[in-house]
Amino acid sequence: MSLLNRLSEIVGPDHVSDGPAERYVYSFDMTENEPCRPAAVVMPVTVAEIQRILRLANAERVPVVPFITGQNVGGLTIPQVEGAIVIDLKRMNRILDVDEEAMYAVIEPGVTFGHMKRYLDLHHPGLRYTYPLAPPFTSVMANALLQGLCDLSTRHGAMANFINGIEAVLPTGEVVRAGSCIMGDDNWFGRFPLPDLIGLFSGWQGMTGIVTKMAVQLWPKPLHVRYAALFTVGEHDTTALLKRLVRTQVLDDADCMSISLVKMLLGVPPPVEVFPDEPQYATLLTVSGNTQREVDAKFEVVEAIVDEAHMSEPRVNLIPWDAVSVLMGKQADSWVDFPSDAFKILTQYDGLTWVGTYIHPARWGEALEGGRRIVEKHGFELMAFLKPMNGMHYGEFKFIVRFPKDPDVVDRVRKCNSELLDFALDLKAIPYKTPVWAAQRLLSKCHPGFVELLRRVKKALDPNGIMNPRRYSL
Amino acid sequence: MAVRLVRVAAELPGDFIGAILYSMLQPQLESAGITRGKRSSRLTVVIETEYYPVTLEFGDVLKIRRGAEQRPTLRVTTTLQTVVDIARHRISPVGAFLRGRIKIRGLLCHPLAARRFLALFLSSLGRGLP
Repeated sequence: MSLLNRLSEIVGPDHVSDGPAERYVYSFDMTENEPCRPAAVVMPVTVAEIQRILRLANAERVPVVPFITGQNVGGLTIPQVEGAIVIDLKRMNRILDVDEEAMYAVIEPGVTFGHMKRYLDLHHPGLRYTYPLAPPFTSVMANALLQGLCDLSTRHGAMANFINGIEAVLPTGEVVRAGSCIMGDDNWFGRFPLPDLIGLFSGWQGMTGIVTKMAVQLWPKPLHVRYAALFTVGEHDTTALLKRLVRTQVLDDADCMSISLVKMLLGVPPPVEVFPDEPQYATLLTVSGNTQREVDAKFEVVEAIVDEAHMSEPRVNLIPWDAVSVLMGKQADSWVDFPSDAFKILTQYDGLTWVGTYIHPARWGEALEGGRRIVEKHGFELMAFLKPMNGMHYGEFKFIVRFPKDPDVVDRVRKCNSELLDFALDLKAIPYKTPVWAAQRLLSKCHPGFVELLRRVKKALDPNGIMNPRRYSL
Repeated sequence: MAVRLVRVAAELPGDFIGAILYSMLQPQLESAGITRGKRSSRLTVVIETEYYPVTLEFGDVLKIRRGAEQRPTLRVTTTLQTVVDIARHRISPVGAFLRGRIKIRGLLCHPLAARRFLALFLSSLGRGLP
């Protein structure tokens, strides 16, 4: 019996295909990374089906690539070898539980940020999750496993920090658990005090198994929220001011971006240029509290710091949101919604990519300045995005490039990204959502003991190397 | 001098201050409340802030461009913070003028043009002339 027929026996004939259309659709994403067609696509809906698929793949040594919505902007779901099966998990889209008291949700892989928001607003209006720099149809689980960022990352760090526990199917077919859920369901309150085995799956880009359930932390929805826009100039001055502001711990979020991105929101058509003496960076600051008085007090802290910066540089300006709404009209709402609304400007062309890293705060400004010069040198629009992370324990920056997928432009994009990555690695930044070429560079420069540990863990969990082979250059 | 203020701006400028001014003024220009004068006349206004000057050229269409026209009808010097304070009713337009936070050159030579431009500009901030 052919592999396709055996897969069809597991999931039913409507949920498996080796047709050219499906193979094409799953062969690429929006990035510049080389496409590769899978042999087939299969869409399970239960944990048992995933177990049977992985046992079959393991026995037949068939490579598998997990996929949910393909919004990772890293080429992470493009097969790296011929003959792979893509396991598309988007049919598994149930929110299995929301625990009001311990504030978590247990979800399946196909649950998106849009699903989560709608469900919480309807059934648990006092709780919220977050939103990423991605559209609402992005998978919550994928974003957490890929250690992405969100609108609570300035306060709480990368989204992997929000994971309380997981259930996963190993490449050999066994179901395993990590976190407090090892004591049974309705007990997904946290990861400690235990060996932190979430790390066997978080950040692994689907190389160690398929996560089938995950508990993510929820947060009380703030009663009072205030936004403001901060305009700044210069990479070093901008990051220095953000560091001062975030270290006060009064901010919920600080979303800083090149002024070009704000101009795009205002409707400036491409290519969006940069002009001398413009404010170079715009940051959306979010402050919340249980009372208006609490919010006001926090905002005073912010104002005092910005006022001081304004004295030495008049182009540093803090604009309260009621005034931003007057100045920008309806587009002000787009700015607040920017992370989830970004696609309307980022998908101007068929290509979208970035090099993004987490970095030591001391080298944040230097990274941003050097990155800007590289992007300018290669002639792309300046679309930097940076975020103070985890209470300012580290910083994030990325340079986004939107581009038409013409061969010569793709070649320029590759050169630009390559240069950006080398520059970032020289500053000891850690790239995230790394495509294979970027992971290869990282591993060539990092401590060899880390690479050895990666290989051993991978071998232990996936002895036949079926899970996303060659991913992360392993 | 009769001044005709047009309804539709031609093109969104590519610079930040110009784009903000476009965003503020366009809804006002598109509203039915903008009156037309007896004859067409070219009105140029330079707005200088702490960032860079922008020239507004009112003709058949409004053109907003980066940089300062050498001989504008009006030259308005202010700061972003003053504009924000007016929009937030922290200061009145007259108060800002009297305290020197807004300076207007050409006011005496072109009082009608100044009045019409200020009416447009202040209405875009949700404020009116006194």
